[in-house]
Amino acid sequence: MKISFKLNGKRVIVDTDPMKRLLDVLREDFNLTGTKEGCGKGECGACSVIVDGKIVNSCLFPVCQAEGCEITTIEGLSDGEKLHPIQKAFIEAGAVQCGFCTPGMVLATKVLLDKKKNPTDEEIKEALSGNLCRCTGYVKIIEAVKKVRRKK
Amino acid sequence: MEKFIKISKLADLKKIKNPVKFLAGGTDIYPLLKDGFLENEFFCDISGIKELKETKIKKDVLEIGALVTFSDVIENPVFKKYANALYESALVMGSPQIRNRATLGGNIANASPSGDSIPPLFVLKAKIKTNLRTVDIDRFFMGPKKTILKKNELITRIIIPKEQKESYFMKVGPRKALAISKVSVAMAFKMQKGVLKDVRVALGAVGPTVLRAKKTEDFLEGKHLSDRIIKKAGEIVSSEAMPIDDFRSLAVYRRKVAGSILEKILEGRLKWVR
Repeated sequence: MKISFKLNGKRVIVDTDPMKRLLDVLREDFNLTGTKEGCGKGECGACSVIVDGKIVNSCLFPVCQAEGCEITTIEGLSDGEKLHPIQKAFIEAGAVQCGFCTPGMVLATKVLLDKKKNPTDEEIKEALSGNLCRCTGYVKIIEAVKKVRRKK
Repeated sequence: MEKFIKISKLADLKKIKNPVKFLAGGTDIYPLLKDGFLENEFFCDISGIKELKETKIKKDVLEIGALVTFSDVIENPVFKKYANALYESALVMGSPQIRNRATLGGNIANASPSGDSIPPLFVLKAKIKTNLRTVDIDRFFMGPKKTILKKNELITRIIIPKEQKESYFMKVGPRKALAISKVSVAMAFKMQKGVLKDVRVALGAVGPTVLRAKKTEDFLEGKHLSDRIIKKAGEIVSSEAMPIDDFRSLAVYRRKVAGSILEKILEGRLKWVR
């Protein structure tokens, strides 16, 4: 089945199994390996991407449903070599250790900050509740989100 | 040939020749595929049927499309107004990622005894409408993962009466986000001068399907809410639950917690009266 959508600002077409996971299409057909597979069951959020402004697990997303959508992966965030303010804040706050959860965390943060300029700690925790991190204990991740908040 | 079909209007259901597995948000289907189940299924993607994404406010009822997501339930103020228990269950179901994709129709069709939207729908007297018939939710579930749905019968709408009543939902799981309920309780009633009327209680994850706690309902009916009544209701609901021991929890724990949750809901309500 031919499926066309907007991927990181560019219109793309892929001809593939309609039930293939968006995660696999991104990694295999488009070589965008910033999107990670953690659990593969929607429990960890490592595969999170933004579809039409909403955060979703790409491991649970049939590519056929991407038709006509606008998709942002971690690769679509930086402006060439210039990092996005959220990416900078994560580095500055030391919110990255093994890095596996980071793409998902950064994208979940983006969706939050696009909606709310000044989220409370509770709102930050809620927005990141679908993303597991096994290294940092979350403190530094929350600090990173607050850093972006202060800069804005 | 791909074992896949996509339909974009309800009328196209008639055109389907094979027995199909309906695909909506995919949040229950993909974990099964990952484990090697459903491999030979013929999938029918219904996510493009626009009419099933709408919630209509009719004179006496809310008519909710089966493709309405848990995020829609949180964001559309009509749910908090007319179906607060459902709204409260949406707040604590899954994660933001799951809520953006998971649909009410899917949660019902999946028929898990711990499906978070189901106890609220029981106490809100919901009816399940399919392409073939309309059924009271009390009659819809046959067992864990079993419903009365026939092959290629699709849930299309959920009908909730707009009566002015209060309803609540609470669950207990191992953690706050992404937890499958060990026990959940939904409750609805009308409160007139401190007296409970038209009480309905439903329990999740403590039986083969979601259960109505009818003894508890009978006990609370017409009672003036007090600390003593709340404690007694907690005991009755604990005795009425029919939990099992499984990898998520022990029966004895689930019984006790079912009582505690009911008490917590009613205590919260009592504070508000005082």
